Amino acid sequence: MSPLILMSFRNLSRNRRRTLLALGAVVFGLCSLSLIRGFVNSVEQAQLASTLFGTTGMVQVHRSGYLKNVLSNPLDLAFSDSEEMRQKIMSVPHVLAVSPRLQFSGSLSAAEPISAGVESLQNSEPRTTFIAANAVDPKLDRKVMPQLYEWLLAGRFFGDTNSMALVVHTDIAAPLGIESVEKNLSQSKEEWPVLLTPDKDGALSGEALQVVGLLGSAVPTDKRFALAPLNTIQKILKMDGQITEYLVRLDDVKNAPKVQQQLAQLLGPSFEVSRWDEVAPFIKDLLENVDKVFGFITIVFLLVIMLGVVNSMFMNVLERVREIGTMMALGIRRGNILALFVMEGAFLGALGAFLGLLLGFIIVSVAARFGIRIPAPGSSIKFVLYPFLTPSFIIQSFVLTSLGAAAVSFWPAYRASRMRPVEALAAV
Amino acid sequence: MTSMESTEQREIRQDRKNIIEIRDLKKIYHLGKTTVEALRGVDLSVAEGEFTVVLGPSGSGKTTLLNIIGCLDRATSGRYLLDGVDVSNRDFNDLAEVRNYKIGFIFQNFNLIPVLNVIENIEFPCLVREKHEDRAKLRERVRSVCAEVGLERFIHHKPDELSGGQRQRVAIARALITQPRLVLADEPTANLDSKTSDQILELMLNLNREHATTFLFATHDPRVMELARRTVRIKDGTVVPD
Repeated sequence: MSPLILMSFRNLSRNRRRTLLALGAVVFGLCSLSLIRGFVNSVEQAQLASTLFGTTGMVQVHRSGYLKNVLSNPLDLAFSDSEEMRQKIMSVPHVLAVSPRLQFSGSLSAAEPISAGVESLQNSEPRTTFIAANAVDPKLDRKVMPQLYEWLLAGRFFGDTNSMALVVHTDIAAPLGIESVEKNLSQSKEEWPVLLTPDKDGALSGEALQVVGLLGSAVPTDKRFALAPLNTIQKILKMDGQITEYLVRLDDVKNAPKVQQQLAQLLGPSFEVSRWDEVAPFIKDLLENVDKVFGFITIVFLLVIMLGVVNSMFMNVLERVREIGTMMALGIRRGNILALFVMEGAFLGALGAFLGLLLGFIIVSVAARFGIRIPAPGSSIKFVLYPFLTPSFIIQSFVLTSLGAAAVSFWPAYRASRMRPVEALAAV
Repeated sequence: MTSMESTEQREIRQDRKNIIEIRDLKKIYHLGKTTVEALRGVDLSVAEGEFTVVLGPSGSGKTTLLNIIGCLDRATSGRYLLDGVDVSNRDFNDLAEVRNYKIGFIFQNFNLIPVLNVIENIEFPCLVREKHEDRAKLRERVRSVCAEVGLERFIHHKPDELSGGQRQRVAIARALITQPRLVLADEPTANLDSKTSDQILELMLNLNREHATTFLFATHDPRVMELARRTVRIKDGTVVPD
């Protein structure tokens, strides 16, 4: 077989222009595919990061029945936060941080200027807005949800859990008449917006809170979002020491199922431990669908590339009919003719895939060094994307292209191997 | 007998084993609705060590006969024994093996493989065999054949770096490396100048004498005819009697 391997490799340099054209198609295709994959990877990574570190955390602990009753008042399933409970969660391997949260909702109303007359009150637009908020201990929460704390567009976060402060999404700020946080910070307490929130029994409690920061978000659905200090909200709701959930950060999201199982065992049946993809299944679906679409694009790309390869290989066979006849006269078996052209196609595919992937890898690496800043759709946050390629993508693309090129070359190679020696030798 | 040959030659032939033995060979081509009878019952025997020329105008069936003798094509009917073995009804790979082990080919256009150098071209028929011989021993043989045909200085050259005469020497070396029972040469001197032709013919004659290799030529070259010890004439698909 060795002269055949040698020949099929050397044959590539015979008609340089044609080989370069076919090779160019493979290189261009694989390079483009790498760039798309690198970009898609970075989008997926950013999406996943904003989910894990900005929206859901990796693992959540609730009272049993939480996921089944999403529509009910979260306060109904509140439970006591304790140092002991946090330590218990922290004791599970792979857990890095834990943050207690109290989910609540309510309305936020801008204080009406006292000096305004009845007329102006009637003409003014309603200045009340609904919020779906989380009360947190910023020191603990920052460790679990670092990305959320990067989405501050203006102002600052509240420093401790007792302050009378609020950080709201920019979309909430506008109806409240908050034009800039700076102006807001200098306002007196009378001018602060009032939070009205129903407690467990539905009774409304109210308190004036100062908006100290404006938040953007990566997800368009988060526009009612606000963060409030945990102790302050617990006092307003008369729920001292009560929370609705713990968010848990792990060393690696891959360990979520393991940690989920261990936590569930440790905390017993009165608690419910959920993974991020159970809380936000649509994100997982989205990522999976992106992969499916990319898979389809890959197939289309590869088909086009393979058309180039098979065309080039047919030309090669037609150009070498007499040579095929000569080899047959010298006693080569049909299988060897087949192998000769299949290997030639495989070499073409492998060489093109190697060069294309190398080029793609270089471009992706350069792009990753600088990062690509793009606005997330429908949100006020700019993502910085860092494209990357996984070894499995590189290996799979290389193997698939090489095998694909070999497979499509089988067709012209078969035609070559079925030629009749007499006719092949007589070819001009 | 069916050809022109000297009494001496005939005696030699009768003593020796027949390499080619053809009886009532017919070849019919179907071209659309018409049938063409290219060979209409050929009888021919060629003994070991003969240096024979096959003559015939185009359309005589000469090429068809040579193709069948070379196991490149199969007859429609009749018997063909090559080196005592019936090869009339073998399949492709069987015939490929017969060609590889028993027949050497020398073509008008040399038909070297352009991507292989001289050594690689010569050893090619041995390397496509199912059973390989020892690579070092093969190289040794290739070198000695190269020396025999006068190519020692060109062993690493590619065919396009060689002259016509040198290329035909490579083809001769390639035909001989398998130590075939029969060498078929189809117009081997047609693309060479007269001086080179003479050298090539001289070389083949020497090989014929030294190795007792059987040579069968198809040619119009009068010098080949002069040198041939036997001439077989083909006309209208049959061998013309003397």
